[in-house]
Amino acid sequence: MEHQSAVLSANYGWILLALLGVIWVALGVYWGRKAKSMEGFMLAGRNVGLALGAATAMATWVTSNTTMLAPQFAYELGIWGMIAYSTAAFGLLLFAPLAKRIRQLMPHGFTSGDFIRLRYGRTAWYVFLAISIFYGFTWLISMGMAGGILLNALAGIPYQVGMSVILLVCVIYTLFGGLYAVIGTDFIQSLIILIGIVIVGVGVLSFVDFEQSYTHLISERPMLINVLLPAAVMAIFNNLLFGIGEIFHSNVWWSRAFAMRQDVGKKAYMLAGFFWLPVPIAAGFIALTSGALGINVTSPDMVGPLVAASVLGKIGAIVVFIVAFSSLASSIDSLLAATSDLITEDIYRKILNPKASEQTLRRASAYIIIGLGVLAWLICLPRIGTLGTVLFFAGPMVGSTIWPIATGLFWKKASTTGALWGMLSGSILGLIAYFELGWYTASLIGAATSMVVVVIATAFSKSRFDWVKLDEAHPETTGGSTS
Amino acid sequence: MTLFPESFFAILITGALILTGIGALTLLILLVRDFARKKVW
Amino acid sequence: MKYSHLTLIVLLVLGIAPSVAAAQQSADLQKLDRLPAPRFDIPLENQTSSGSVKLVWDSDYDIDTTRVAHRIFELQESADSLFVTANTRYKGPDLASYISGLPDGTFYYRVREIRPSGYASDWSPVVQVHVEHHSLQLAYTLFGIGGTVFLLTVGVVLLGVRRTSREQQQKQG
Repeated sequence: MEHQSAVLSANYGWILLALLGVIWVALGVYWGRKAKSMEGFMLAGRNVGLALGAATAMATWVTSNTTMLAPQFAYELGIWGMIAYSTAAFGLLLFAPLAKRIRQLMPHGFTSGDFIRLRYGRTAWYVFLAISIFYGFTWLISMGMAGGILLNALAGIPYQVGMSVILLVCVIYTLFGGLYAVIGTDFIQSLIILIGIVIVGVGVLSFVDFEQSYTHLISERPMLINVLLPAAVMAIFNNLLFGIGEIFHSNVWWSRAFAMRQDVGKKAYMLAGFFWLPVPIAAGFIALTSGALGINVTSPDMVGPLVAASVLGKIGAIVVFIVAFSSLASSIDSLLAATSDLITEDIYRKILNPKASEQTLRRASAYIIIGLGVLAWLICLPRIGTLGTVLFFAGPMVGSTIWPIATGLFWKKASTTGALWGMLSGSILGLIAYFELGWYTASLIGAATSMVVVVIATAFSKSRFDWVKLDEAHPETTGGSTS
Repeated sequence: MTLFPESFFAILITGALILTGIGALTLLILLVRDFARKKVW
Repeated sequence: MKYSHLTLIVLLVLGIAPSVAAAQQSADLQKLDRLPAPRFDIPLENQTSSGSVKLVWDSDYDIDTTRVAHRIFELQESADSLFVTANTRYKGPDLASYISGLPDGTFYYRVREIRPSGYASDWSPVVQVHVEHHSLQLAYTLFGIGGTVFLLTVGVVLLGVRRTSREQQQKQG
């Protein structure tokens, strides 16, 4: 028992939880009426504009980690920690040109799995699916658990209840509204997150100025403002490459590239990157004021809410609750949609039932969303703390996909051998590094190994890929109603 | 020990808060523009 | 907030019901010799390479959760094991404190309990935290490898974009 009480009374917690749940479900069902075809459901009609496109990319990349873990990063790794975290924006910025290229090469594409299959063949595709589904699912579980823990810590709502409600709400609106609902709610959620962070940040600054915080840091926590904090200098590119790997390979980002209008993708991802860049700093710095404000921190993952609530009282706690819920929901819904798309399109339609009609696919997709939700719920239920670390196993795996994806989109000579062995050797060596050297090397070794393998294989490659092969006509799109 | 100067600390945080605010505003402006051009979805 | 609650309670107790306060104080006096020092719930010797450590303590005295908020613990830090110059890192009802941002060196911590009436328990046994950050050489090496992979990735994307857009222009032109 370490005696840290909830920052918000349970009554407020329940009311907010119910209110937010009803709002998201209602909006999801409302937007879901637009999703008449499978393409509408999976890709929001391939017609998403700039505002919604930028907002959805930004909001999805703001997970509960960004708003809750950024303060922890600042509290443990100081100024460097915040900067290191915000470099994850490079993932979005670098994906911007890829999004344009993807849309050009694959006007009828559905998933990132489609690309790997058409570009590198079936064996590489199986490896890729294993990595991608493992990653998507562990991310989903970690968000579900984070939801339960967060709502419990913020308002004393029992872990099981909070976790169940947040998963249920996201499953329902994703089920009814598909990507329309996901993108629509993402827009509102991004506004809430950005405005909430500014309110809390400005509020905290009205109680303590930079000089006080800085002076206190010098005397009590000098390493946090040290230019050469080894732990932070060491971790910076590992985090960055983890982030790039996540975005480059995951269908969460590919499905958005397919969903946006032809001329929108690149701009939307650039804007999302710039919107995201300051968020970890703006959300994280309040942890650095805790000392000057005389706030005792018993557990570093709660430093953000603790400071907000201590300084801004009930209003601060309510804002934090809403921001936390929004950042969780905007990521969980995207993961549900994108992972179920990947399973529906790549496993169900391409492997199990190639002749499935649109109606059958739609039904399969619904079952898969529910199945994913139930499975995630079951795994989250016992609240095994160490499960969170499983997500870090995904680091080397996704890191190893960076070069196969990037060169596959731009180099005609990039070969199947390079991609397949790049992913396998990168994942394996990266995992070994994780256990032998430390977590802060895993993604880095994974990406570096895969890079070397891909480059060597390309140098010896005799294949010259014909880009036209990537444009695979889809049964539903042969009607010519799209793009 | 080389420390980040206080001015850097202040500028970094103030800048981040301002940029975050600008982000929210830009999103709203873009949505209004998309509405006007009927290019929301 | 916690402080203001505490003052409020103390004021209420002292102002509205002085007899209760007096009774409490005499009870404290009686229990004085029985107010044991709190103890740390972590090993007495700790190592960290990140400069962070979580100090957790507890008290055998009066394990009644409803009253714990009225209690005050004082946590002291010192660079020497004898606490010749000591710095109070925390004073309040919590039973843990997460310290971060420590530089290289050895730090000593002790905690005691102070009753509202001002009586203090003995100090707890001393906890020692040895901080040795990762070597900067290792940090620079990883920074260098990571930076190289990152820059090459950026290069592949940017050069790829340039070449493919040129190819497309040629096709159209």
